[in-house]
Amino acid sequence: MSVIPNEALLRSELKDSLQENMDTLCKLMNLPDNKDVVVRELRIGDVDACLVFTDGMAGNQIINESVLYPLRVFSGQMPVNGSERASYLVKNVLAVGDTDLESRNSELVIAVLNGLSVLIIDGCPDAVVMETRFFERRVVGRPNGESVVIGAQQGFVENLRTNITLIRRIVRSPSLMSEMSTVGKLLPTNLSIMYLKGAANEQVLQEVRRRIQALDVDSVPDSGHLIQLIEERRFTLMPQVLETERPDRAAYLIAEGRIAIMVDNSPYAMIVPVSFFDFMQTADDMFMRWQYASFNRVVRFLGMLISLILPSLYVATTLYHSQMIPVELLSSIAETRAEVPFPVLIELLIMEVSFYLINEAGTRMPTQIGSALGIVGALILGQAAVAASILSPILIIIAALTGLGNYTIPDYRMGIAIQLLRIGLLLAGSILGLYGIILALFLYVCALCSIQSFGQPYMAPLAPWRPHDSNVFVRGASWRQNRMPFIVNENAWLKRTPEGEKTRVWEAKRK
Amino acid sequence: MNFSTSRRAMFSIGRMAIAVRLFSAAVMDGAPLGNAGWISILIGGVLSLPVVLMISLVSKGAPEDRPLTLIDRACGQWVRRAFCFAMCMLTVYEASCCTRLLVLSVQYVAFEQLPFYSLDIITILVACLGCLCGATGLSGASYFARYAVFCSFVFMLTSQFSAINWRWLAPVLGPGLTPLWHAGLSYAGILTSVIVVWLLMDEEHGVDRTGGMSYKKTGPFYILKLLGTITLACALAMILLSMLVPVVPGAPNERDFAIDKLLANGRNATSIQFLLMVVWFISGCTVIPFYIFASSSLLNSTVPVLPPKLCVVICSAATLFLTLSNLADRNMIDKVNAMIRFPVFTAVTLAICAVLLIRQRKGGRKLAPQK
Repeated sequence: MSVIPNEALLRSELKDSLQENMDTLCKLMNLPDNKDVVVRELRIGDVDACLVFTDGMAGNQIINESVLYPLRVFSGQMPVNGSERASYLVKNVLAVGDTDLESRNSELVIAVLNGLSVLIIDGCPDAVVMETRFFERRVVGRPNGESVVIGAQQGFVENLRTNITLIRRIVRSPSLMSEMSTVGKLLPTNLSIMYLKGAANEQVLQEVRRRIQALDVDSVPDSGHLIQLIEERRFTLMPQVLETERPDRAAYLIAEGRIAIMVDNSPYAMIVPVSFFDFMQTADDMFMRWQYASFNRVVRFLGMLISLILPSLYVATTLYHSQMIPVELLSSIAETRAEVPFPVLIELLIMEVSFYLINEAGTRMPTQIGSALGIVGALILGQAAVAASILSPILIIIAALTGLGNYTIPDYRMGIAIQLLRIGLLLAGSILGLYGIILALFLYVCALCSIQSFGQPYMAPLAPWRPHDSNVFVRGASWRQNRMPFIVNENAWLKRTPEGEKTRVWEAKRK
Repeated sequence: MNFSTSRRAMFSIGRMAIAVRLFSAAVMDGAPLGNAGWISILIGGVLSLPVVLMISLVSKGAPEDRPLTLIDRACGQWVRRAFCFAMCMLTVYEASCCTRLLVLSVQYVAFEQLPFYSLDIITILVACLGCLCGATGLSGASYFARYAVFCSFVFMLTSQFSAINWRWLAPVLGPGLTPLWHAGLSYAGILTSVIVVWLLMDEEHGVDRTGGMSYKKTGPFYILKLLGTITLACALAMILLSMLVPVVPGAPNERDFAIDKLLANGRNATSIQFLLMVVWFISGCTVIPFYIFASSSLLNSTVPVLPPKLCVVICSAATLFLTLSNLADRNMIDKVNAMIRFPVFTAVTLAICAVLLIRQRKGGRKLAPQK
């Protein structure tokens, strides 16, 4: 663990002497080497003071109009003693909405680094911390990884405050809680835990708080890094925390009783607890007619199965169970493979590796070149490889179907996990045929069913079975989605109306 | 990792495993019975009724207590340990029999050149790893396996419906009463292994009940219902399978014939064989971990100082040892089954249940925790 520089100074508090306080703060902020931290000395009436802020993080216009101008026009004497000067200025002079009094140097440093302005007054042991944040940020735009055909087109940005606002605009309830916290000892990062009070499971909530507070790390640069630190099974391939860049989806899941963790500088909301089936759902599932949404979801599951099993099944049947292939197809496969010098497994591995290469290269390439790369890759793999008798045409079909199936998985991380599991199945199928595939699948399912996401079973509500609406493999009709998910408090927000219809309390109240 | 053998998990695993074990025994070992195996299954179901009824009555007397706790209070811990150890040995043996059976079919299908011990080792290793995922993992796998098997069966029967030949069932008592009765005894031994499920049921206290979930099926006749479902489902499956035209070469009394009949039955051998193989392999993969998990839990009850994971490893090693030995050979299995399976599972269970019932009736509250 790294040593925090100037730790003793950080733990100290402001003194009465302005000069002493400025020296401390300058040392903590590494001034004058640190060029973007501004220390502006000024005089308020007959009292010396200084304003400290970070250039680029704090807005010049706000500082000029709401802080410096009122302080300059104030020419009288402050009719209070030294220790009350800060609160007097807040009440009578400063024109900033959000202010606070703070005496700890550590908090003052964090405030300045976060874009707030700190006013230190001579003879006063408290500094005024003012909300003056204004920095360049990405505007709210379309989500790149979770695009939908139907539904809102807003995505989270890198600013935590904006992201919280995006959720609050959808979940307009006083029960929506936003607990602010920091994580990282050397480089603290702000995070917010958002949940619906009364709906979220209290045990899960406590577990989330406990895991975040228990973190002993220097820094957490991104939500992806935080997930790896707080998830239950660190060696499991499957993602155990859902990341979404859509405020509407995050809001929907929060309304279902889930908990969202949002980290500053990350355009994602981390949702816990989740089940495997949540990763197969998309945001527009809720917006479409239930028949369309159900059809799309079935296609997704089918795609996932094809992506997982098809290559290994092809290897197993051609190597060990060729008697099960119809004669016409078998002869066709044999004819196309006659010129190919490699065994089926090698042939398939070549195709898989090529596919991964194209995929990875296409992801990193600029958009204009990326599409061209896909065409070139398809041409190379499709025509040239077959013409050179490196691959058989049927293998191209297998690889193409596998790739398409993988792309139907809505979650990128889940897609990679399925790719890795596919390699395991491929090896099992090539060693032990169909029996090997079933042994491997059995192990996968056992492992999946034993996973928990923040104390909740990962394969629920199916295994173990829990009461649920028809929202797993298909999405039932909207008017029949009355049950809160099993993870929610047992009796929270779910009741029967006198008419006998199940409904949520807040819906009932609205009626 | 959840090693708690909760009621729900044990029932989920046991239901699938016992049904598969019964069905496989009826197909593999019931070749001499011809197409009348379903009668033996029904006989087995009737023969297992007393045990099931006794279990139900004991459960009714103390529905919230774990059966092992009841035995402990009624007969003392040494009797309970001896009972658990005997059951543990028996379940290990069952696991090895199932492994040999499954491996034989795998070898027959595609790996004739492969030495059987390599497949044994791989199968038991996978079963051991599955057991290490705990009751939650195993019960989840059995849940999905159950639906996969059911859907495959429905598909097979639907696609073969026109080929079903009702006359194949006749003559119903063709093999004679004696073979049917002996097979019935053997099947009753398998069915009464439900006692393992009953013994290992933990209290539901402390088990996750989130989402308003509660265990509603704690009625005294639930085990009866469970056994009834297994027996009737297996009998029905046997009837349907017997009515399909087998395209099987070889002598009907050989094991190869039975395996071939199981894996290649039906007219459209190409497509149905694939599904039958999938169904059979999935089923086999569910049975072996169940017995290994049950035996490890029983070993843990016998020697509580052993950690659950170590018990799983020990029982897997014991299963492997038995599978590789001559004890898991076909002839030996038949002898051992006749000598051990039915008497131990049935007679010992009846005796223990009788003791518990007498204690309950006489003492009333004696089985309740003594403060």
